[in-house]
Amino acid sequence: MMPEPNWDEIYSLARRAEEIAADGKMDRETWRGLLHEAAIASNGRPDLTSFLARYAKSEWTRELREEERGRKTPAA
Amino acid sequence: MPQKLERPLPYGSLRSDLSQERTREILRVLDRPEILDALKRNKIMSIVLERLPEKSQSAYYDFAQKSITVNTARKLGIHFGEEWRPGRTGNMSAATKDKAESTRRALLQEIAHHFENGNTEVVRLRDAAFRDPRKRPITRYAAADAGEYWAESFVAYMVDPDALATYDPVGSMMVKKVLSAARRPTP
Repeated sequence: MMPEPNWDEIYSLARRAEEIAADGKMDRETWRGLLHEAAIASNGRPDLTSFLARYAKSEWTRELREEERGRKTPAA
Repeated sequence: MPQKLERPLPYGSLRSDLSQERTREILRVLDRPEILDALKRNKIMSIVLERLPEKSQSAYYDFAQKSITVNTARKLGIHFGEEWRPGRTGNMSAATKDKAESTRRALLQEIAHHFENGNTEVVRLRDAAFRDPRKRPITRYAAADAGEYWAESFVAYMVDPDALATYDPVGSMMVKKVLSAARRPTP
């Protein structure tokens, strides 16, 4: 049994992301905020946040990856 | 089967933390003429198949770098294990009980995004289909936006074309048209 995402919220976030990008207002903070909201809406299913990948600059994704890897590293 | 994958493949680099055999098992999903032809016209710069610790993303296509990353640490109940019910399943890579199949579908999903990247004809076909009121997104995720409608329909076309044609003829036709457009030289 897989967790049920909040589909209405995912659709709403997809529309918002499209509008923000069309207005030329997508920046790192905005993208990170949308990704955070999408992660919550996905209810633990990370494949359902990939709709935001098209709006990310390479360095935003790289930075996120490094941060999350850091988070996984056990404290010394 | 393996010998087919020994020939040069249309991507710049491959990094995988899976065994050679498992890597081949995943990459063989690309070994179809319609995909290989399109990739020859529009090359992927890199494919990364590796265990990722990311919580927020598990497969993604970098539109600027033309690179695909797929998390190989796929877990039952998180990434896959859903029942396949056209129109009701969450997403195509979840609709299998098999981990390798889920990984292959995640790779296909990102390949679909590569095909739409920078190809105005593909984007036009994708957007027209998404605007079509007769469309019936094959998964819940396919209803998110035009890009995911295209990508999810593409995966469905590759793994269960009859189900796509029956449930969403608009999506099925879109995939056929897009694959045709993606195989043509870009102007």
